Amino acid sequence: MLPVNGIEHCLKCSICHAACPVARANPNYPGPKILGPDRGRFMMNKSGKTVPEVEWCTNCQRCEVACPHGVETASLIRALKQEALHEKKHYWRDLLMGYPHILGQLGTAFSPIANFMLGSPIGRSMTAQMMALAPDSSLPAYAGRSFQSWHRGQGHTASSNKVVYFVGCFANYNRPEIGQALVALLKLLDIDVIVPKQVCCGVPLLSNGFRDRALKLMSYNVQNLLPYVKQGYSIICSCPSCGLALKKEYGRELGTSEAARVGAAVYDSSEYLDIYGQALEEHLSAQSWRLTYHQPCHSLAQGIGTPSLSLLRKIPGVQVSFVDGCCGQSGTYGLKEEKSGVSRQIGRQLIEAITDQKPDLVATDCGTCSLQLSRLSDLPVEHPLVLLEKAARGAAAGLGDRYRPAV
Amino acid sequence: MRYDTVICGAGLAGITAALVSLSHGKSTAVVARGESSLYYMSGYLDLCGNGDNPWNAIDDLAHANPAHPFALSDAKEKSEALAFFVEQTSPGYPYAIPVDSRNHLVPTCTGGIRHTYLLPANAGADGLADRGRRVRAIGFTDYRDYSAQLMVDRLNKKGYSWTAAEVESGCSKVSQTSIDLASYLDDDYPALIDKLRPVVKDCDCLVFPAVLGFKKHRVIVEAIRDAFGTAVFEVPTLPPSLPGMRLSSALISRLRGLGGDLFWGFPATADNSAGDRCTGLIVDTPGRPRLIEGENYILATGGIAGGGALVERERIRERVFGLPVETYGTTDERFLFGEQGFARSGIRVDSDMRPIGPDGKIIYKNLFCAGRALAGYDPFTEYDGAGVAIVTGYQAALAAIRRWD
Ligand SMILES: Cc1cc2nc3c(=O)[nH]c(=O)nc-3n(C[C@H](O)[C@H](O)[C@H](O)COP(=O)(O)OP(=O)(O)OC[C@H]3O[C@@H](n4cnc5c(N)ncnc54)[C@H](O)[C@@H]3O)c2cc1C
Repeated sequence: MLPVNGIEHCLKCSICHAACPVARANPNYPGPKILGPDRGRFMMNKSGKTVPEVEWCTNCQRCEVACPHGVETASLIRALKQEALHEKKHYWRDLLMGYPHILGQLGTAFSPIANFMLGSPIGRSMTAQMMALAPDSSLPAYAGRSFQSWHRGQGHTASSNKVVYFVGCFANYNRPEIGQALVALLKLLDIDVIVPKQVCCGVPLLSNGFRDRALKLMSYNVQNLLPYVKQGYSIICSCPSCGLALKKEYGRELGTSEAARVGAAVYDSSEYLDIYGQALEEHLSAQSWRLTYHQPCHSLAQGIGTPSLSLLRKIPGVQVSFVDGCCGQSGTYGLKEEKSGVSRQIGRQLIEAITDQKPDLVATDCGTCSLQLSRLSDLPVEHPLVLLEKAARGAAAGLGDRYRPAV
Repeated sequence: MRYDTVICGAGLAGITAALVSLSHGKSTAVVARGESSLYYMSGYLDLCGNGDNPWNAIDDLAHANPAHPFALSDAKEKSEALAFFVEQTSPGYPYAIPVDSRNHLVPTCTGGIRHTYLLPANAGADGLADRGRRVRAIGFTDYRDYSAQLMVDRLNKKGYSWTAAEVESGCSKVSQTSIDLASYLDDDYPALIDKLRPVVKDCDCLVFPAVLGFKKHRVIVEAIRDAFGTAVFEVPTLPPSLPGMRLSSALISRLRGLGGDLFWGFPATADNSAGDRCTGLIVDTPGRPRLIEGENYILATGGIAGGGALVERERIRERVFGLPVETYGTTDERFLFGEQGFARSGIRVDSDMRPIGPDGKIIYKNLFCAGRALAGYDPFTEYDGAGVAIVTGYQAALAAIRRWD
């Protein structure tokens, strides 16, 4: 049976449909109203009939954010995805991509080979064919050394203020600079960073319908984070999708008080730093950057406002504009051969809005958003933490060492 | 962060209030559970009454009903509020004040005629002012929610001589709502112009359902105008309403541009721990509740459709502060299209827009209220929905600022 999640509050006003980026880009996608509450009403107490179109939902959750009556459309659709799991055309691909922490361990350990497979034209075309990925997808390059491995070599400060960092696979294996920037910024505030054992947050599995497998990763993380939460530590996420999962999905999917307790201790990195905004501001040196900030859907869905925007605006001399919209990447969605067209189509309007602002650089908190934005706009894209750390490091910093995906 | 003004609700009332607060240099946050009634409404912003002169209608209403929200401001304040609002729309989706301060006559999509006050640049107005105008109404064969022929047939019975034509939109969507068509046209409007060529003839004005693009609306209207040398107007459709969405999006970008913070997607309840002052809004966000604190608060959560009022079997509840709701009529009135008593139910305020109890006493010193949440009016029979929201949103913000200063 499907969970009812507020179906009875649905007025059928179509606000969710209007908010859905996929419904706008894919003519075959019925949209959240039809797949969520409409279908939910018909199918209450029944199961067995699967809906292949649910596959197209990116789990951006914009429908839920837009709904004025609290209907949980996205989770209704996710439940349908689970039911349709065994009819997936690319079961093995989706399953494999659901384990970015394992891919990441391999990728960083053998980064020259991995980056050849992801970056060189021949390697990329082989990978794309094997994995049913879009031939032009931009896969993130692997770092030579993971964040966790770097952090183990760092030693701790004497500070009694400590926080726990849930690194997330992108910052851990692809872009350790994000985590390093967080550590440096927290150090300025005299806060030490603990990095407990952790695996992928489970979102890639969950949004591809592999709920049971996602639950295993989630339980593992809860087990490892809970002892710290019991001691009163906050958990910081620099990835909005990890953050949203820990805050919202863990409690809901695992249904345990431990998961809820962990969720209540989680902060998005900018949400956390914003609390110390005044103290941090003193460390920020003037920069002449012209930035456009893109808020990832999963940061929006945390209901935290736009703390990254407030922080970036604290850097003296910096101009920051805001653009609203989904970039269409949604984790691994935009990489998939059959979905990359829709993903690009969704991203196009956002890219237009960004280029209208004529920025030097785009700031966004999400790793996979940054892949899409740099692929489609050809502008450098950075995590706000990296920019803040640059500004804190002192003298005016250029934007020279820009990050590029493996392509 | 402690804000000067915290506003609950991102509809016409809440956003107008936020923009007033920001334009006075006050730090401002808006907390909204979701999108507002703008998504349901036509985008025709009514001031008052379904007649030619809205200002007389206001006087009549305020005279007959001193408890009407319009009785809380004079004509000058109302004009200032409307002028301020229109100015805010100009960068994104410009509305205009009618030159003679009289209502426009506008068509509805089923061929009705009604009056309204503020119109966006390309809405159906002057097509109706001049009966001799050669108007061609275009419909889409693949858009179920709109029939150009129906509209034209009914209008022509009222003395117009419009013609209708249908083309295929080209949007091959399984579920075709207004927003699906608009998104399709955002990308593929040049194809529409080619499809229109054979059917555009003998007319100096083209009327479309309001689906001419969401993000690219201006460009699309200009392209059609240039291609055919005609005027181009839209007529509102069933929800979701593109004019309302464009307006909402324009106002929200304006709010962000002025540095306002927006907490989007989750319901708030009030923290009333300090007796006669509101000390914060507690927003039910994932993980843990989030406290948003400010000096002054404005409640603009709308009515039943907006989500601010919850109708229960025996009573109507105000959901954020638990304020006393002045209740009119009963919930079992039979005639759907007549006057509905409950429509007048809402929050009673003093002349400073502060909610008061049945005893007339102010409930919280730093709480103000605006829009559909207010008691004493019925937008569905009085044609004053947008007008009350804009005027009271403006007043509430100014009252909050006065208290602050
Ligand atoms: C179907 C329909 C058609 C209409 N057509 C017209 C028309 O053509 N012309 C016209 O002039 N008027 C029309 N009206 C009336 C007009 O739209 C409304 O009166 C007016 O827009 C109300 O604005 P508001 O800002 O007070 O409330 P709303 O627009 O309802 O906004 C309420 C806001 O508060 C938020 N909210 C609610 N509860 C909470 C909570 N607990 N926590 C946080 N946020 C909350 C909502 O999410 C929303 O953002 C129509 C109304 C409806 C319902």
